[in-house]
Amino acid sequence: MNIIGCLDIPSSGNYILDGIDVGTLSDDELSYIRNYKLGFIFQQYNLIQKLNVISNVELPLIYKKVPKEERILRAKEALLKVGLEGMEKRYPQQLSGGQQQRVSIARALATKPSVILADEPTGALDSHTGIEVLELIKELNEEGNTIILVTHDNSIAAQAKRIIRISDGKIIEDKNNEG
Amino acid sequence: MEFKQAFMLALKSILANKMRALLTMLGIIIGVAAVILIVGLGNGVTNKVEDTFKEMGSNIIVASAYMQNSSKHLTLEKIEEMVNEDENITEFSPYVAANKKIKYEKTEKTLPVDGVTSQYVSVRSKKLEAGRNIEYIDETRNQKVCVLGYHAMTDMFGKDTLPNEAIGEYIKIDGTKFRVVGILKEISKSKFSDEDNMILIPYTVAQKEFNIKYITTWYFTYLDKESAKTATDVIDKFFYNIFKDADDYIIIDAQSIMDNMNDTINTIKMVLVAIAGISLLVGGIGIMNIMLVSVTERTREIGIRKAIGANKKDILRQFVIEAITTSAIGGFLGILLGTFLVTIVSSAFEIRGDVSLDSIIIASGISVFIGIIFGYLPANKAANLHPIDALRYE
Repeated sequence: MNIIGCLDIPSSGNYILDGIDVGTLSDDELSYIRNYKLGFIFQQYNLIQKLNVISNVELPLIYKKVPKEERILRAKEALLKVGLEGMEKRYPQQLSGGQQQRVSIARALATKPSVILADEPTGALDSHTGIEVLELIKELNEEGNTIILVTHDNSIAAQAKRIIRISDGKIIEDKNNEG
Repeated sequence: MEFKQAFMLALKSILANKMRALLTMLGIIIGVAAVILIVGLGNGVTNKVEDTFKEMGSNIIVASAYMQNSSKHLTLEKIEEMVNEDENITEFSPYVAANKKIKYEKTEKTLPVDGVTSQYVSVRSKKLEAGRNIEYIDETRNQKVCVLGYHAMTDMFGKDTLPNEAIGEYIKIDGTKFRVVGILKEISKSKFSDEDNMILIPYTVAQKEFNIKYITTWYFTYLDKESAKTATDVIDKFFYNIFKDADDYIIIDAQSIMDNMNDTINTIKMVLVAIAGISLLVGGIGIMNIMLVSVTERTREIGIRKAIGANKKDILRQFVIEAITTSAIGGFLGILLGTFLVTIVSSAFEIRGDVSLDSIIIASGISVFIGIIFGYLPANKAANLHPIDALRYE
């Protein structure tokens, strides 16, 4: 997961992303790829507590050097999509777990990435909100976003269109799950 | 990241930890305040010295022989001849000084009595408030007349006396009656100034009354700053020709004394500023220390920022701006504190302390500079964190 997300580089083997060998890139080049091509949804949400909701969503756009007006527009748009309109000025600790995870989804969406990586996105949520978040992710997928989701939960995995099973670092199954 | 955003964030994290921020800034505050205070008071002392010399009169050289008896060749005629020969020296006056008991009706005081010529008043850049100056005819005829300094007048005749009322009155100097013919303009309101206390009488009268055979002290004025050196040399040569020993007399040029004193004051000032600078250095280290703690505390935040696309420069900038903001606020508070202290101390010591714009600009420059220097190391540490390690950090 960290390697796909360009957070880490492989110690052996190659990871080719859009024709680029990620293993050869510098720290800043990896940051650039994460910023432009990838969106992250973490198990622990990983929001910045000091920043309010809109600033959190805006943050990757700031690093992308998007002008202020457009940033706010896109951040609001992303928040609308995850159903958090009107919560822009709240701080993460004022939100429930499910809401926080939605903020992090909005943050991932804001940059319009090629791939969204979700690492156990429901792992810290109760089953009810977990289902809600999952529904949201599915919806986004329907809208045409590529989503890679990592999970231990077979019932969640069963909802994906393609399932790759990994055990002890080896791919043991790769099947399409459509229909 | 935009500068404004980084600045707002920095401000926020400073406000979130007010006590810690204040303690961090303390070194900078004290350092900057000390620099402002030292420079401000240094300027005050310089002003005071300049004021004192201005009271004395500008462009003055005082030449004085130590021995009464060997001064017999220092005659008015010879000195006049020398002054006339050299264009750098403009005026001169002999100076016979003594402290004497002065009496007017019931009032009795000891005041300095100076025996001089008519030129003395202009040599010392003094002005007449009322009446007339001592004149040549007073000198040749040994007239017992006197010109009073403004405070000498108020001392003898009472506080509310008008200068015109004193003219024509008689005072007793050592028991001898003198007619008051003129009053000098007040030079300084200060009680400590001797310049307004004097009583001027013709030098010939002073010599006779005080039993002084030869005049040892002479005042000269020179044309302008450029002629100071030549004038001093000419007078020195003249005195050397008479005494044949440089230790028998002294020649003092007010300008060079003032320059020397200002040099000394400046040297002391620089040393003190350097010491205050150490406090700034310590303050900077304090900022570095807190920034390092802050980077550790916020490792996770840095990880998140990097994961969503911040590069090294973004992180570096964020932390350097935070350090600069801390030290700049410290610097600003230091300037306020320093200015406040200068005002208080100046009024306590009756000097014109002055907080120069230079010292404010330099102090703010230094505090921002400290922010950059001491913020860079922690910021660099933050920028180089590996996103995975940073994200895992609890």
